[in-house]
Amino acid sequence: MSNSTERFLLFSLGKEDYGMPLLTVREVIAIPNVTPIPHSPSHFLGLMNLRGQVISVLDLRQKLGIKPTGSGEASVIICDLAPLCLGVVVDSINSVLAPEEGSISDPPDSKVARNVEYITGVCRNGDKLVLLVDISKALSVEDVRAIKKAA
Amino acid sequence: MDDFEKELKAGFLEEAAQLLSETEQTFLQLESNPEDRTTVEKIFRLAHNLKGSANAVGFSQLGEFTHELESYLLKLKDGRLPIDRGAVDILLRSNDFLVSWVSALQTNFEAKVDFAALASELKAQEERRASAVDDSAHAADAAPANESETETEAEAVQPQEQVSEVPSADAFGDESSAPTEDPIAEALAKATLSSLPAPPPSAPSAPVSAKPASATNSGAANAPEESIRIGLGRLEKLLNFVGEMVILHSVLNEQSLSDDKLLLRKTIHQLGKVTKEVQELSMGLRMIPVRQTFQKMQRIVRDTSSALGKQVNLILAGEDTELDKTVLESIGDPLVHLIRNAVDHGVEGADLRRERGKPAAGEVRLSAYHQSGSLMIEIKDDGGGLDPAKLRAKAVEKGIVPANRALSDQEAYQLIFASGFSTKAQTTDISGRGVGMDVVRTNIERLKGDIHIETELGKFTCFKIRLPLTLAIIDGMVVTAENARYVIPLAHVHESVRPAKEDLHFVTGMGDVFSLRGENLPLYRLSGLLGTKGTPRPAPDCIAIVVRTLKHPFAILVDDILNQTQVVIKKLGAEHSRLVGFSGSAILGDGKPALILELPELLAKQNRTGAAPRETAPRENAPKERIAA
Repeated sequence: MSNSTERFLLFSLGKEDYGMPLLTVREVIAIPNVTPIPHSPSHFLGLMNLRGQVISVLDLRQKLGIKPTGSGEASVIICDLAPLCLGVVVDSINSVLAPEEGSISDPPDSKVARNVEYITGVCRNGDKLVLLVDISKALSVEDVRAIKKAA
Repeated sequence: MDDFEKELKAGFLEEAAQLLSETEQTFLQLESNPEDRTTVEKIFRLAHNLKGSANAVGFSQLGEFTHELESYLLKLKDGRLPIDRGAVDILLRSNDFLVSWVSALQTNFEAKVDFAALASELKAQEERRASAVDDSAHAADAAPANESETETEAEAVQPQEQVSEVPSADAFGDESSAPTEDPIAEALAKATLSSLPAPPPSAPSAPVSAKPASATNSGAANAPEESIRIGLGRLEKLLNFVGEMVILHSVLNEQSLSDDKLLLRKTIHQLGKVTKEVQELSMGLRMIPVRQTFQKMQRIVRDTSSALGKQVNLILAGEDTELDKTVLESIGDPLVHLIRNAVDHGVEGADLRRERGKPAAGEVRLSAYHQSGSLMIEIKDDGGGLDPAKLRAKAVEKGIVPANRALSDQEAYQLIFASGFSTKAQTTDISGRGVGMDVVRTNIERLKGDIHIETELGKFTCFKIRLPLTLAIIDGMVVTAENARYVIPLAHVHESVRPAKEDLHFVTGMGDVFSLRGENLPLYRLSGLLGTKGTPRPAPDCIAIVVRTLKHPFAILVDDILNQTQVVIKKLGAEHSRLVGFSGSAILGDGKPALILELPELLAKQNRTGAAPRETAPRENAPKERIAA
């Protein structure tokens, strides 16, 4: 994590700032038309067609229990998490950040926190706190279990 | 090991695997036509290539063994050793050995293999037979290419001598007692040896003739087209983009209709033609001829028939028929099984054949052809056929069928697919354990195909396999339920009916029932199966789709049918691995994805978990319907 060359794509979920490794981002698109999938957890918005490839679109805000801002800036980040390829809905895309070496600290060890294994680190960007997330962890902590239950 | 080296090795192994499957064919050709020096030279070249590239990428062990093989081949090529059944046997065994070796290396580049036993056997063959070469060479010269009876006799004697010379049993002992630490090596050694043809039977076993000579010649005449290898992943990407192109074209086409620029519309029309052409071409890229799979069967027939002491000729037809690669790969094992069965159970022993006035050599015909959008594969033997009475008796004895149940002949034939069913009294190595045929049928059904039997007692048995040409594209019916679109594979749809109100009934404990021409079918609402909420459309505005391909017929109620179309199946990502009821997704004409329903799964799921909702849901609807009626 202390690798200084690693860059992050910053995005907002509600009023909070998050970042994910830029290398896992394939592209960013506007919210597409999706086909809902029956028997799936509610944050599974559905399937979209990305130039011939069928990709699942998931709402990270719903997954993490964050209220959407409704700013109309919502976008989908297409993440390449081999072997998975997912579209992740976020409130807005902000910038790309290349944190200086040593500026990333471990996530705070909070006693009230639950299910925050997906936060890999914390970093300051100006006066804001950016939470660096592992997308596959953030989305799949409970998903597999949830889908199993639904099935 | 760096990536480059890994890639190099992986590439070599893939190539080697293909080379080896080619060599097997040439060995068999060699046996049927030992005079053909060009075949020997071809084999020699293949072995030489293998040796060269094995050494080049650093599989030195493999190089050493192929070196032994090469020097043996060199002697064959120069005529210093006779080419006969014994020689072909050891070549085939070396080939098997190499095949399993290569596949072991494919899983682990570091795999070590103990090849000393086979290598020394090769050497021993070389030396021992070199002394006998004058004799045999003479015999080979004397024997005309078309077999006479005397030659058959000579051949029958020869292999017996050779096998008694070759210490195959000793080799086995040596190898198993040798301190091999590598389990792979041991497994390999066993595999190699267990695939050894059994000791020569007392009856002379003529070589299995490969395909007719004329076919070989014509194959050689039109030189093979040059080809390149492409990873399946890249091909899939290409197909995706082509699909997208087709969709974009239709959007463009729609836009141009409101435009009066003639040139634009003409160009778009032209583009449409080209696009269609490109689409057809790219779809065809997944298709490969059945030739290679078919030719592998020659080896199976050869080994099986000689182990059983039968004479069986395999006749191939339609090897150029094309089939989707994935379908072809999955049909290999069932075919091997059916072919073995045909040789073992189908073709009778020589005595019985003589009694029945049939030629001594049995015949198994393997053919492929297209029929109404499907691929047909037929395996036909000229053996004893199936006896329905015998099958019935056996099934009753095994408790598969109750004694008092009458069976039609066709039903009796189908019994051979029941698990644990085998009519042959003795279990042999080849077949007779009765575990295979049910697997054959399951595999074929998994490919969305079916298998059918035609037989005449004392004359023949023919297995007809019907397979879809590809698993990548299906004919689908696009239906709607609660404003969402779904694709139902057309293969499942028997008919679609607009039900009248009085045909829909609700029975407590059974759920909805649909009366269709006097038949009462269980009825499921698609929206109910999918768990989507909403008020279902009343009776005359919905459509019932009748499905009869599964064990029990039933009907599915959908809101509407939009159209019938061919769709490309896209697998769902791993994030949906727990989702049941859908076989994949497809992109429809407007570019939006829709789910493809897997009705058997969906129903099984409903019956497992949905007993309660199924009872309550209709109850809510039922009064409404009654009022409506």
